[in-house]
Order: sequence, then structure tokens, then C-alpha cells
Amino acid sequence: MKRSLQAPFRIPNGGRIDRSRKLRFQFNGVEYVGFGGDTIASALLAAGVWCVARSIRRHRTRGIFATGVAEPNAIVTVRQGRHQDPVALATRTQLVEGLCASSIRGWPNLRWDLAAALDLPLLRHLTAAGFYYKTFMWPRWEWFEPWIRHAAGPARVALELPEIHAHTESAAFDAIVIGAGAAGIAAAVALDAIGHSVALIEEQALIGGSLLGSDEMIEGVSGDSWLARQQTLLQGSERVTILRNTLAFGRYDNGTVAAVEEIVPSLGPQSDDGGARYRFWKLRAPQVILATGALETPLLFPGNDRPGVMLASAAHEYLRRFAVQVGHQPVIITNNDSAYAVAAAFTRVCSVPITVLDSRPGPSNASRVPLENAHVIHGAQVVSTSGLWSFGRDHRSHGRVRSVRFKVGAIHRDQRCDAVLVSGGWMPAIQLGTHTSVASVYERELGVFIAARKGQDFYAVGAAAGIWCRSTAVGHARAAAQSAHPGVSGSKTPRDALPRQWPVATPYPGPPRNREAEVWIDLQNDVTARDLRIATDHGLRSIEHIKRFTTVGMGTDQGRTSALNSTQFTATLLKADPAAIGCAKSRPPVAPVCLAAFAGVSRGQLYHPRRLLPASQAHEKSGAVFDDFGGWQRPDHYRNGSPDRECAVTQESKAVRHAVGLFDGSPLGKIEVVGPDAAAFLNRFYIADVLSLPVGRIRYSLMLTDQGTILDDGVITRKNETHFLLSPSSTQARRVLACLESWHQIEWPGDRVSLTDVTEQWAVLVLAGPRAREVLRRMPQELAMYADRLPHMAFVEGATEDFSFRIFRVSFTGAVQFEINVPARHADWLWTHFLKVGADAGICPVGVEAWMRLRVDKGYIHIGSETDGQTTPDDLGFGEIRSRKTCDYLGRRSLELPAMLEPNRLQLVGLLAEDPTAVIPEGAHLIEPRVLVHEESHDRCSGASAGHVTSSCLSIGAGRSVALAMLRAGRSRIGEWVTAYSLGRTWRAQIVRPVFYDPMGTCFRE
Amino acid sequence: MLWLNCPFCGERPETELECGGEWLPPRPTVPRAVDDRAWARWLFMRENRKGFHVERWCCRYGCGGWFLVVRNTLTHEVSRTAPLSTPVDELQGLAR
Repeated sequence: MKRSLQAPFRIPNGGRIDRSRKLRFQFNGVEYVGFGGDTIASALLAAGVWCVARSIRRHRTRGIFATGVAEPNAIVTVRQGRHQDPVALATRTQLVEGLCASSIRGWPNLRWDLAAALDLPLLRHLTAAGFYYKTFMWPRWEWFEPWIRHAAGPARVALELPEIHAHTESAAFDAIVIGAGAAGIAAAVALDAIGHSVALIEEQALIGGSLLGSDEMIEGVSGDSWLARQQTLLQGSERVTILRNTLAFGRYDNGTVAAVEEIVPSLGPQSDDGGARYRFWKLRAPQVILATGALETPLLFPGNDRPGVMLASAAHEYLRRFAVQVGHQPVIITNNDSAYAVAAAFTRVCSVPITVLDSRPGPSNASRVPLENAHVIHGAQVVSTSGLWSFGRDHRSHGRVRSVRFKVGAIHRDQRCDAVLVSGGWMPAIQLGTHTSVASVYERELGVFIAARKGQDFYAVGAAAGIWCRSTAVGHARAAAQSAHPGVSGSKTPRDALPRQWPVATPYPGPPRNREAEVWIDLQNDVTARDLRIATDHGLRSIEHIKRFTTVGMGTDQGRTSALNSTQFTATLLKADPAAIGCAKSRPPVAPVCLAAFAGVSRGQLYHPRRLLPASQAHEKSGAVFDDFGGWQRPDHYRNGSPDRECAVTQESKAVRHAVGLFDGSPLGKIEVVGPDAAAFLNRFYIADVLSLPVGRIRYSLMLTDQGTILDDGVITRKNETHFLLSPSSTQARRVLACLESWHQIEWPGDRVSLTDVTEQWAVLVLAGPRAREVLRRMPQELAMYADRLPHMAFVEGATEDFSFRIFRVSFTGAVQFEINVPARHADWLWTHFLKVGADAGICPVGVEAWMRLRVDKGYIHIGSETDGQTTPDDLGFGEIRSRKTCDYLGRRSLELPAMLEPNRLQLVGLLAEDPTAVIPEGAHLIEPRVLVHEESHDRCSGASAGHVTSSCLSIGAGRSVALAMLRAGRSRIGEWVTAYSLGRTWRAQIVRPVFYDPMGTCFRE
Repeated sequence: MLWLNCPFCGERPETELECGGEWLPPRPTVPRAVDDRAWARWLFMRENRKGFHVERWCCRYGCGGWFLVVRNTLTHEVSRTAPLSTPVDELQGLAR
């Protein structure tokens, strides 16, 4: 492996790095060395690696541009032992021994990227703004899709590496302070002093924010000693929780803040034990204080995206905090005073000559201070930059800025350089402020946007509120913290009374129109000034529309470095006021967050609580193969010596048709409805008449929504005059209860009735088949006596010595069927006992699959298979039953609406395939033979679907394949033939009545 | 995240509750007496006001009770919660 262990840009002393701890790491296969406290970005800069990425559209070379979460370019894939982070920001990721990073674009390699052809003058228009939308128009999206999908994804997840784990934690505080710079620390200390509990959230490993890279005095002392004193105060307090390495990525209503803490493995890859990598915080507090600071804005000039072009403040931070001097011959380009502090730091610390190209025509307060070794040129506008061309495979300085051409008046001059530090003014970091739909406001005097505070539970302090001077910001934060009262919205901050010392930027001269395609506004999304012009030329006016059309301000940085420039440039194009254009809203998360952090422990087995049947263990002994059915773990089938599932299911179905099957129906819903008005109440819901239901009898019925569509089917049992039992479908039980409850509470609170869900209290074991009686007769006398006495659709309850029971004589399978309910704790015993006493009657445990196929024989519907949100009872052939009831019930009025009476609605029919052994797949579309077109050689089917197959199987009862389908005007087409189509195959089938076995129902009535 | 004051259980986070949508006038007592247009309006049409409106919420994982909430659809500010029995005119007066 290649090694490059020199760090030519590291200065010999200073910085907040631990020089005693040398860390080796790799980038694109080359080994480098950094120090403890470095980020990947600072170590790469120290080693002189300029080119670290390729841009998304034009594959231009890109270098490190900023620090922390503001970075638009340096997204890398990181592996660390068995950990991975496919899209890590190099500027945020702390260096650890053995870390392995690689750039995410560039094929075959970062130096020679074939896709860089997209940057050629003729080809660059291919990916200009709006190209994506135009691929939908002409000629076919499918041709572009694979290319665009391939190009758009930023990185690949290494599936061979173990999953990333995360914890979830919730916490409530009196206040949450986001950002631990000077203002944030001051606010936290002040809140602590008045007895409030505080969470102080800092995205970086160290607290201090801009103090860490500044020489400025604060409140009369140096930044370091101020920080040390405040840190002592914070650490001494039990009320303050400092969350380091924690990114507050979203702010939501009522003081909710979502943050993700990165748990840095301190010992490198050896410590990797599959432990959690992230901690996901859900924080809540009556007040949220945004102390997120401000971010420098880049300048717009041609070639402003080359590696080596960097924010001046970022260069300052690399210098002070990481002891990295970005460039031996830097040039500063500015339109405001703040860059002069950077120039001063460079000349003092590194004693390199520095050139300052100030666009302002005359000297300002800052530029008047004489700087040794610095050459200040006023009225200079950059017209172009040129980059290095490196041969060979080494990408490190390929494309790096080599010289800057600028003009003063009409005179053009070249300035050689190896780094260009840009400073185009400052913009408060308002990303978190604009979440929860809060608009930003334009501060004309400062030329920036700040987050509005209107009746909200948060406020911004310090630079995030537009207050520049550190001492003033600190005072402001303290005052705001002390005056804020939890719950009082929009508490006044004394901002208006403060002196404005914001480094107000003078507008930089606009780029010449013919060079706009080389002026980058958004580096991450590769959006140029020309793209914005295309958008406005297309008639787009709203900044939000322009954002969506050009992708400016999208992506992982959410427009941190581009928001202000895009608004100002749009304002220039439209000749409008920036205040009227507004600032595009950023959306959470404000930086990339690993999906595993959101998932936390809710994954795999813990994704969803599994509901087990009361007789689960007995099923296991019977050889059950479990599957998930609406949250319940139910036996799909029983192995029972069968070679495969199909054989097992066939055997189980045969048992029900010829002997007896035993099925566990415990998830079946059970709702007790009790009260003097119970009958009248239920009569409002079911399409069958409930009032006339005799005691001890059962009636099958449908329950509708008030829109007239089917909500559920099930049986109603009358236990006595005032006590009913409902049996909604297993998957619908909760919905049905919720529906009954809401109607009861909202519309008919006068009905004296109470509803109780007893689904889990009772287990249901079902005996089904011609020999079911035989098995029941062998049970204890109290149960056995009902084997011959209980007629179809009747109910009885009783008790043996050991347990109470309820028997429902209904039929879902078309066979004689006893549904025996016992308290859940007796289910295991009863299951085993049935199998024992039923052995010589040929009893066979039956799983859900066989059970569902048996009902297809009879054409019985299953909610969710035959029905969807549009199916009415008339569609399923219940029209006649329905019309017998004369009084009102839910959904009735809607069934009289014209759309519900359409003759061309989907109706339930049976289908018999021409080939009796062929099972038409469920979901197959029914197509009229005349509209079935085979397009060229593709098996592409066009033409309207007249319906679809809802259930399909090989039927034991019918001795052939059968299917149920919903077909347009189906009932009027009995006897006709249709074609079913699925995935390129077709089947011919005859339309029949939807019953394939025992049409008269003699089997179960006997 | 919204926190609503269930009239029976007290302050509860949104995740324990279920939103039942905008408050509707009572269901017509004799739906057959209502013409198609009026019936469809009751079923489907919602005011969806910008600003404060009255909506129904259910304390799904608490008491199971439904209650009324006066909420600003623009800012999510909740000015009041009340039991279902509260006259809605009074709340709507508050909402306007």
C-alpha cells in the first residue's frame, strides 16, 4: 500500500490536537497519519490532499470547503473495523486508528473519472437545471431511469458488514440549548443559575464553538480562559447535561427536539463488539434556545468550486484548532471585514505572504489596520480561476486552484496561489429555526435572514439571532435565558436594543452572463448561477419552486452555504427585493442521520410485538409451521409427515371434507355488548336485523362504514335480551371496536350500552368436518350433550367441572363446525385432548392456509381479499339480504347514491380455469380477449382491466382449481369466458356463480 | 410533537392519541330525508380552515375517550381541549 506519512501543511505547534497520539488511516487506498483530535478533513488537509470528491452532476473535482456540518463536498464512505458509515462528512468524522475512508464518486478512480466528460462545454447542458423533469417528457423515462438512478445515489451500503445498532432515549428538561458556542454556554450557565435543568447539545466533540478557533477576547479575557471558567461552572452542576458529538437535527412542535449522538469507539476497531454506534435522543423542554451561530457565505465568481477554494472562517478554524495551514500561498477574496482576522492569523501564525482581494473600492475599518506580509488590493473582482492538471493516478492535488485572475477597473491581473479563502458575509444558522413551518425574516440592515419568532416555544440567541460581537452575544444569551418563562410564547429578547456590529457585506459584483455556468451557488447539488437563470426563465418565481426545479438547497447540507446566495442571485435575476423572495426552508434532518439511529431497537424480532396463541406450545408439538397473520403468530400448516406445504395443506383440507379437522381460531375478535339498548345500538351498524335475533341464535352480517363500503363481516350472537357477542374478523377486531366506540361516544351517547373486548380472554378451538360430532361426543358430558342438540347458527354456554365454555355452531368451511370457546388458559389442554380423543375419527390439525382455501369452496368472503375500501354489500351479492331491513343503519343512505348503484361495478364471481389443474395467481387481471395486445416482442399487456382474481386455489371439495374474482358487471356475465393475465402469462376461465361445493348447504345443516 | 390535555387523563403526547379529524355536525337523524347532495356534503366535505378549528381526538392508549380540541391548523397552537359534551358553538366562538 502507498504511504504518505508527511504532513507538509501541519504547523509545528499549537492547535487542540493530541500530538502524542498518532493515528494511521487510509483514504482511497493511501495511508496517511493524523493526530488525536483530528477529523478526517483536517488530517487530509494537513497531508495536502486537496481533491477528495467529485461533484454530483458534472463530476468536477472538489475539495474540503468548510468545517463541521456545513461541508457540502467532502462526503466519504467510512469503514472502521466492522463499522461502516456510507455517507460520512469528512469534516465531522473524528479520526481513529485504522479508519478507512474512500470517496464516493469517480470511476474508474477519483483522478480519472470518465463521467467528468459531463463537464465538457457541450455536455454540461445535459445535466442542467430541470433536465430530470424533462426526461419524463421525451422520449421515454425508462431509458434514462437506470442511468439517473445510478448517478444519483451518493454511496453504497456494504451489506456484508454487520448492521449498525442504536439506542433510543427520551428525556425532558426545563430548557434545551442547541449549540455550545459562547452564546449557548452562557445561556446554559444562566439557566442553571436560576435552577433550570438544561440539555446543552453540541454537534462537535469539544464545546466552545467558534471560541476554539479564534483569537478574539471575550468579556475582557481570552477565549480559552473564558471557556475554562464556564466549563467549570457547567461541570459542577447536576442540572446541566452536556451532549457532545450530538447533532440536533430536527425541531418539532411543543419544544420537541430530535438529536442523534454518535458513540465514538475510543479504542479503535479492536473495541468493536457490535455495540451501539448511535444514541437517538427525543428531547423535550418548554423552551428551546437556538445558539447555532452563523455560517460564512461563499462568493460568486467563475471557478469558485475548485479544490483549494474554502471558506475563510473554515481556514481559520483549521489553523487554530487543528494546526493546519491550508496553503503556503493563500489568497483571500472578500467583500466584508471579517476576513481580515483570518488574514491576520495567517500572517502571524504561519508567516506566509497573503494577498487580500477586497471587492470594496476603498479601505474600511478593518483593512486600514496594517498587516505585515499582507497585500491588500481594493476594488478587485475575480474573473476566473485556473487549476492544476496532474498526470498519473495521484488525485491529491488534481484540479487544485493554481491561480486567480482578477480585475481592478479595466486591468486584469493574475495571482498565483494554492488556496483561495472566500468570505462573502455571514448568515445566521437558522435551519432549526425554520422547522415547524416558521418562516424566516429578512433583516435588511444586515442583509441576512433570521428565524422569525412568532408565538413559538423557541428563540435564537447570539449569532443565530444576528448578534455578532461575542461579548454582546453572551450578554444577550444570558438575558434571554433569564427572562424567558416556560410556556410564555414569544417572550421578548432585548435584541433590538443591542448595537449592531455584524460584518455587513457589500454586494459582490455579479458574474458576467456568459460565465454563469461556471459560477457555483450550491456545491453539493452542483447548481450554478446559470441553473437559477434557467429556472427563472422557465417562469418560476417562488424560491421554493426554484429549489425543487434546480435542487438548490437540497441534499445533506440543506443549503447551509447556498441559501443566502441563491436568494440574492434570484432577487437579482427577478429584479426583486430579497425580502420578497424569501429563504427556502430547510427540512429535517439538517445533516445526514443514519437510518439505524431512527430504527433504534425496533428491528428484527423487536420490530413489532408478536402475539402468541394461548395454545402455542401445543401447536408446536403438533408440528406447526408458524407465520405472521395480522400480528398473530399462527400455524400456517402442520408438517404432520407431509413432504411439503402443498401436501400438508391438501391433507388438512381432506380431513375437513372427509373426517374432522381441528383449527385454532383464537385471534377471532370477541366483543361483548351489554346494556338495555344493546340490540338497538347494534341495529344501527349491521345490515341484518338485530332486533329480531332470538336469544341463543347467531346471525351472519356485514358492518359498513357510513360511506357504504364494507368495514367487516362477522357473526352476532344473542346471549340474552341485553347481552350480545360480536365476532369480528381476526384482523379487524380492534378497528371494529374502535368504530363502535367512537359512534357510541360521538353520535349516540344516549344508548345505554357498554362494549368490552374479550378477544384475548377466550381461546377458540374449532372442530370442523363430517365427524366433528363424533369427537365432541367423547368430551366431558357437559360439552358432549351439545354434539347432537345444537342446531346450525345456534349458541350455548355452560361449564364442566374444570372450565366454562361457549359453543358457537357456525360454518366458515362449509362443513359441520363447532367453535368451542374456553378461557385462554385451558386452550393447551383442550387442543391436546381433542387430538387424543379424535385420533380414531381421523382428526387432523388444520392451519390457516387450508382454512382459507376451504372457505373459497363456498365463496365465503374474506375481508381484505374480496373487499377493498370500495366494496359494497351489493357488489358481493348481499343486495337482497340488505333490502330486507327497513330501518336506517350505517352506510345505508350512501348505498342509495347513484355511484353505488352503477351496474358496471366490480361484482363477486367464481372462475373456473379451462385447465382444471391450473391455479390462476391471485391478483391476476381479467382482460377482455379483444383488448389484450402483445406489444412487439415484449410481454407487455395493454388494455383495460375488467377486474381481478381475489382468491384462488386447488379445491378438495370441487376436485379442481377454483377462483373468486371481482369483475365489472360480473353477475350479468355468468357463463361467459374471460382471460386472466399475470406477469406475462394468460389463462382462459369461465365465469360462474361463486360457490363450488355443496351449493345448497346440506353438509353443514345436517 | 403535540401534547394534548385529555379531559380525563391529563397531558398526553400525540403518540398516545388518535386524531379523528375535523368536528362534524351531528349525523342527520333520518338520513333518507336528506337529499344526495346534502348527504354527500355531510359525508365528505370538510371546512379545513386555516387557523383555529375544532377537531376530535381519541385518547387511544389512555382512557379511550373522545374529546374536542381547538387547534390552529397553521401554527399547531392548541388553545383548549374539552369533553365531547361541551357545546361546540362555544368552542367555535373561541376558534374564530
